Parts: sequence; C-alpha cells; structure tokens
Amino acid sequence: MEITVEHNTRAAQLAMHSLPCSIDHNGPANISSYFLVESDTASGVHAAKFRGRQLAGITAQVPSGLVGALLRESRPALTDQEARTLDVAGQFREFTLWNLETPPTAQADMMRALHAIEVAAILHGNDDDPQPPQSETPSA
Amino acid sequence: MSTPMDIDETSQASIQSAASSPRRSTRISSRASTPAPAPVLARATRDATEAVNQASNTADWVAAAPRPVQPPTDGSAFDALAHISSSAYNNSRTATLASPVPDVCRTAPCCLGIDEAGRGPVLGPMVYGISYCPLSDDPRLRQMGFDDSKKLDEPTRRRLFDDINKANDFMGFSVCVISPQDISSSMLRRAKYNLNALSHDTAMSLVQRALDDGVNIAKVFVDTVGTAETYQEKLSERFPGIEFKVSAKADSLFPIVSAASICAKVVRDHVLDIWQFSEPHGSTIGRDFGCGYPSDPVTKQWLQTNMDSVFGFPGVVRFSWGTCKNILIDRAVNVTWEDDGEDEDDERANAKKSNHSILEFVKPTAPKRHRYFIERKLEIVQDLR
Repeated sequence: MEITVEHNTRAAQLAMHSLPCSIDHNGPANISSYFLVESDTASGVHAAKFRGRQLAGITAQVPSGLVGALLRESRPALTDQEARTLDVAGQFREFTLWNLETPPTAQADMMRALHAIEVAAILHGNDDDPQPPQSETPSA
Repeated sequence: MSTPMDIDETSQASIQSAASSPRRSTRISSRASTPAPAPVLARATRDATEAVNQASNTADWVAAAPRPVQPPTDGSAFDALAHISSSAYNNSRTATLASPVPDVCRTAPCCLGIDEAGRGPVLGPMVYGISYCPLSDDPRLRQMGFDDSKKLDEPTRRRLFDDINKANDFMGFSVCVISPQDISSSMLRRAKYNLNALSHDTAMSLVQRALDDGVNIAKVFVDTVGTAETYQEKLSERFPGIEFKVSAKADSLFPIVSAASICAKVVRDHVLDIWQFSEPHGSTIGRDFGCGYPSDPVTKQWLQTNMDSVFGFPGVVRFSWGTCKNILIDRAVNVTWEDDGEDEDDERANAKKSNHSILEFVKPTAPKRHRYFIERKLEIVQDLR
C-alpha cells in the first residue's frame, strides 16, 4: 500500500502536549477551558492537572533539522486497496512532555526516542555532511 | 505510551477543520498559557523535587506548606474571611491562615482543640481548624456558648466566629484550607495517600505551626478520624510532652474543640460561597451545587451538567470521590494511565480499561524489531488502518 504525505511547510505551528495516559478520543476538546498550565521559568518545569491527577512537564525539542508534524487524512479511504494520502495539518519544533507527579527525565521513553533520532542521523550520516537527514519526519 | 494532544494556539479555522475531520487526531484550540507569578512557580518546582525525594506518603504541601498568612502588623484586626475574599487568596492552593497569638498563650499552659469541616462533600475544600486558649480561661470559654458546629445554624456560627476573633486577648485559632485540587491529586497519587492520613498530617502540621508560633500547648483535644486509639498514639508519638485526648464527638464535649469546629465550618462555607472557578469559562459554570454531599440530588445534577467528556470536572470537584469516578466511567471518554491496575479497588475502571496506543492506526507489519527500538517505542509506519 502506498502512503503519501503531502508536505506543507506553511502548516500552522502547534502547541503540542504528550500526556502520560491514553485518551479514547479523537477530536476537538476544551483544552483552553480545562487544561491549566503553570510554568516555572527558572526550572523550566510545567505543572497541570488532568482528571484530578498532578502532572509535571518539560519542554522537549524536536531534534534539530527536523520538524514534528501532525498528519491528517482529509479523504478517508473507502477500501483497503487504495493509496492513502496524509496532509501535514500542523507542525511543531517543541512540545510539552508530561509525566505523573514528577517531570520526565532523560530516561523517559519519549526522550530516548528523540535521542535515537539523533543517533540515527549520526550513524547514517555522511562525514562530509554533518546535517541530519531532512527527508524523514517524526510523528510524535 | 502517551497519546499526543496538539493544541493550536489561536485560530478558529483550525477548530473548524478539526470538526470536519475529527477521525484522525485530537485537534484543539487553546489560549496560550500565561506564565504564572513567581510564588506559584516556586511551589510547582518544589512539588516536583519533593515528590522525587520523599519516600514518605505525606502530601508535599503538608511537608512544606507555605507560611501562614501573617496577621496585620499595623494593629488592625485580623480577618480570615476578608483575606479569603481578597485577590491574594488562590482557591486552587492549600493555604493556612493563622490569627495572632495572644501574649498570654505564650506563657500560660493552653488547651488546644482540633476539628475539621467538609470531609464528606464531593466538592470544595476540606478545612482543618484549631483553636487554643489558656487552660485557666476555661470558665470564660464556657460562657461563650460553643457547641458542635453542625448543631448550630449559620448565623449563630458566624456570630460565634466573630466572638472568637474578638476574644483575641486570650484565644487564637488557625485554619488549613485544603484545596479540592490537592485532595484529588493527593488521593490519586501513584503512592495512594488516603483521606485519613491526609487529615492526620494536616492536624499535626497545625499543631506544629502553633508550637512554632510560640503557643504553650499543654493539652490537645481532637475529634477522632479513624480509630481514636491509633490516632491518639500517633499524635502522642509525634508530640511527646503534650497530652492528647482523642474522642468521638469531641466537638460537643469540649468547648475548645467546638470553637475549632466553628472556625473550620465558617471558613469552609465562606470559601465555597465565594468560589471563583479558576477555569477561563468559570463565569458560565452554575453555582447551584447544593450541599455538596454526593447523596444530594442537586449536587449530583450539578456534577452531571458540568461534566466535560475529556477533562471531567472543574477543579472545585474532588475527582477521587467514588461518585465522580462513576460518572466519568459511565459518561466520559475512557482514560487509561500507565499505573492503572495497580490499585485493586478500581475494579470498575479496570473492567473498562482499553489498550489504545499512539500507534493504534498502524498495522505492525514489520518483522520483530530490535530491543533498542521496542524500548523506545519506535516503529516504522508501513500501513494505515
């Protein structure tokens, strides 16, 4: 099956949050009404509550040279045979990574995954070209 | 693994497009969060570090609660209710308010009473109160006409609270207002912290504070939470040299406990009466929450009306109450936490638990991957569902 991603470098910049839970919901939500974030500029730690539980968050950077992308299928596939097209509906260079009660550390799965992308860039990169590859776009 | 939620900072257009294609992503518009003032921030960081460092189950704000609101130094009367009504008070944070310590209480051996208000309700703060006066002033105390705050009507409680404030030549008090947000997050912590432990720790922190402020405490009367004997043992161990008397119905037996009970009840009622919702849409949230007890049909109706299917309830609600958990299980979208299932009490929640992952729409067609990638939850997208 062929999957195409329609690039759109002008896609809206998004403020992303990665929560330490799975939410059975795809669609709009009243984030601005309920997800109240307080940030400590000195330590860079954010605090918020979700469903009564205390979350602590840090700002995680998408590895340099890459952008995070929100992919959306604007025309749903009718059969499982046809080629699929995803649009870049939004992009981000950083996101807030949340953990229960204590801020995520460098050992958090997500932080290690982001690190793996940098490792891959070095492993597969050319010595003459220290820039990480631009072709792959991680989807968080 | 986490589910990403992306927030669009501004545009209405993106909400529209999200609504027209809601299938693939959670796409939500949001106001950018404004940085909070410094004191708030300091607390957030401290919470985080302490949670890491603390082996004990004590709530972080009990262990390192902010200093109580200091009484005015210009000689004007201390007014706890006025402080709560002022902009200096933030109802989402646990706060301790203390009256000035009368000079006589620093020298004469004092009796001290402890009681709480708002333990049962599903919303609003739980308030712990202490009051104290010299043991030798017992006759004067008895003349003031205290009784169990629950047996007195509201105007009488308010009058007695005024009397306590006016009796500042020999009586002092302090209250700890535990915010519903702190009750929820304490009880829903990874290391479960139950309401009894919370109550005990709060009571002990108030006694400690009174000692720190120079009150000469000789005898403490406490209305029991849990078994009277174990509570009394716990208190005596923590404060050797002080005589503790823990008993059921202490608030109707000992006037100093009645006084504490009145302080707690009046403050709790006042906090809820003037409750400002911290949610940006707060002004549109109804205030008809009834008496706040889960058994009250008005309270139940308010919870049903003000439930958000993703976020649950406004912060005034104690998410840790069974009533709330059940409404969310029945009507809200399912949320699965990484530590779900560790608590065997949550049978209902576990029964409904699902295992959706961030990659749920991806068919894993690739051969088994190296541990390095599995541990980092890295997968190659080759197919879509």
